[in-house]
Amino acid sequence: MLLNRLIKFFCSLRLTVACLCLGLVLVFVGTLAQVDLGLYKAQNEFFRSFLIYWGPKGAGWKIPVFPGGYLVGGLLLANLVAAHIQRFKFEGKKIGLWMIHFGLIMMLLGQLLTDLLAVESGMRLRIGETKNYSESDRVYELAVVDTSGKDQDQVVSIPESMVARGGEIRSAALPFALKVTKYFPNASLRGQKTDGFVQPDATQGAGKELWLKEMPKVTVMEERDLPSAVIELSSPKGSLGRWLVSPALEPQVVTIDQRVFEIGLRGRRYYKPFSVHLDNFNHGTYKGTEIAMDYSSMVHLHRPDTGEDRSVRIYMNNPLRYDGETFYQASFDRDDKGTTLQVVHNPSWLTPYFACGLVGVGMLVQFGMHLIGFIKKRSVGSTTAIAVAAKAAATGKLARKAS
Amino acid sequence: MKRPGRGWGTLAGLLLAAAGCQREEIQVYRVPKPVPVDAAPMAGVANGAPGAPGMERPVPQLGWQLPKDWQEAGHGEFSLASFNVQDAKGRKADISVTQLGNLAGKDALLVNMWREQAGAPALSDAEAVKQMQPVTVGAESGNLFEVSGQREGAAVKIITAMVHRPEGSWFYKLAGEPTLVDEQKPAFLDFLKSIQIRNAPAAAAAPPMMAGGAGPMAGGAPMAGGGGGGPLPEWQPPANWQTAPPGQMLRANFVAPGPGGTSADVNIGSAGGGALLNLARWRRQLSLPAVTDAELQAALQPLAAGGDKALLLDISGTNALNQKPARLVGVMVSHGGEDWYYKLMGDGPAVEAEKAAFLQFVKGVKYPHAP
Repeated sequence: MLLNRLIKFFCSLRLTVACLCLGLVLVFVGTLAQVDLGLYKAQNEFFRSFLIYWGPKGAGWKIPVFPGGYLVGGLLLANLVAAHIQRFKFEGKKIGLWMIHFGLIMMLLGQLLTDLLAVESGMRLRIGETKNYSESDRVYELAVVDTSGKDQDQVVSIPESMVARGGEIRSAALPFALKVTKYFPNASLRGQKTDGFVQPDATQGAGKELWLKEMPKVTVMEERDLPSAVIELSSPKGSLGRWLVSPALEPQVVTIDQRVFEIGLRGRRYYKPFSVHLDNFNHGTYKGTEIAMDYSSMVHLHRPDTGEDRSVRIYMNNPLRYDGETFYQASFDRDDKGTTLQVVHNPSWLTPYFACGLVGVGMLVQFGMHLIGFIKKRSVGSTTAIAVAAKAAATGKLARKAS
Repeated sequence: MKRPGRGWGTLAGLLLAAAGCQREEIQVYRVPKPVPVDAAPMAGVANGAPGAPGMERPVPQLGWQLPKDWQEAGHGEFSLASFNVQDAKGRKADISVTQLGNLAGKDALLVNMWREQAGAPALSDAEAVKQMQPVTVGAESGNLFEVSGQREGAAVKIITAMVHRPEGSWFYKLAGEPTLVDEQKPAFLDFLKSIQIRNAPAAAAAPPMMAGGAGPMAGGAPMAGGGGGGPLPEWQPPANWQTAPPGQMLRANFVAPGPGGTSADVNIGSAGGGALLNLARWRRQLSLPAVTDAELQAALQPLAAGGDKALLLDISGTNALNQKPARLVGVMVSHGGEDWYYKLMGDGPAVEAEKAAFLQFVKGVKYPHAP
């Protein structure tokens, strides 16, 4: 039966060994690849993929040559879980093994959850500036901001993935529909006619006077994609025109029914129920050198709904953990008047700690039980040997007396 | 072999749940309007009332006893609170409360700044300091000085009280028709005595150039593909400019206060796209119709500034964002293959008042690796 064969495959110890070996090779090769590809691209190609592809330089094709991190990790996870469900029985003397295996499962699941749920963004603050949002520098959103309100703006945030799919986008909060007529995952813009650049077919806004060239996507750590799209707005009365949007352009103004909207493609914003104000930034160097000794941000945290209002110092290796997010000191402005905090929201950040703890305790229990058993056996053996020796000695003494 | 049981179902469920986690949807939400760094508003703050709701940093809470005949006018772009008073004859005066960076030790400069606002000639430092009279503001001691002159063709008198506190300098200004200002002076002094300040932010909130610090003021790490990532030039902004956060595509932002509560923004960027693209964008920001490249180039005037080539554009129109009349003075400087864009844009009087200082600022910029 196919299902039983599948179960047998997933429960196999050979699969465990094969996955561990593949994992070793993957980590080794993936680490070396970071030299040429950079951290981000190497992570994507080797660890955040099911298959690793290769193709000759300049060729337009690639073939899968090795399993990627998701495949190896997924198989290992399935293997561990399947083996437990199918084979292991809970016994007191195997409790250490159970803990080790559960620790490993937790570690793999934790990494999977981190990949699925973790959100990284940045909060750049100048001294004296307050923000209640962080912004992604890799994930974008099409933001349509209704600025007509007196004290507040209404933001309609459309994920870049929806823009990439194309087609019509509607929101009840908007008096018009948006239709993505063109989308470029990465594009370069020019203000004048340039070889290789074409006009993006915009009839309104800045895009009318721009030339665009689609560029290959970049995944190197130091570079960013700059996506662009041509968006057609239409009200019940008909088309309002087509706008080119890009993070390289300022938000463009559209006035409809006496409401003023700003449309722009920007780094996705993550708003928070609290604000962070940069009071001061300190950048210390070793005396007589430009080598950074310490850099720290003195921020003020304010949360209106709870009344929380306190100062916090964020510095290297001492992040602020607050409201499920971690604020790391990541970078600073050249003039030392501003700071960049990396904001990480990772609901499963504790799983590696628990997993390692569980594996550690499991190993202690398992090896401890073996050790105790061994010592017990040894002490029993020693007692027996002493008794035998004593008996032999006594027997010898009697024999000598008799003779 | 055992039959597949409940454990397999759980595993399949977990995988399905994980697969559904990354679905993305349109989000609609409301956010407070962005405010400049050093101009946090006092929205919702009244006598002893709690601070403004919303997400911005809590601003200092002001308490006061409102004099008879004064009307609360909310906060302005730079003022934390403002009031006005008008009599039956049509005479008007305005009262405002403003907090700036710590300007202790710059009293002479401040007196002359106010004198300049009133069109009065500048005084020597010694004479300027002599204008100061002690005054009580809340439980603290401050200084008060008076200036009379002409503004926009009309006589004006300004009475200013100032207190230097750790978090910055506070200014209380009564300005308007001279006879009415004189009549309102006793009420103004009573108002000053009734002032209460709570939750003042830390001293570091003061704008650096206001704190008397020299050295370049610049934006920092630019957004990818935006403001550019090369070394920053060195510049020295005028003392009355307040720093503001550089937005996308910008290397630095300042706010220049102008006469009569007007203001202008100074933006500095070095994004690519070419001069004509940026100059065309400036025209769009003033709601001006598109012109050909040749017409655009004809509107440019050469300017002697640091760098290889500098062009000046001075245009007026309607601010596309708020539909108010606005003027824009822009300078594009090419240096070492990189274009730098300096823009002074805002209310006409503010731009007019700041144009000379702006051009002086641009001319004084020292570019990296300049000879």
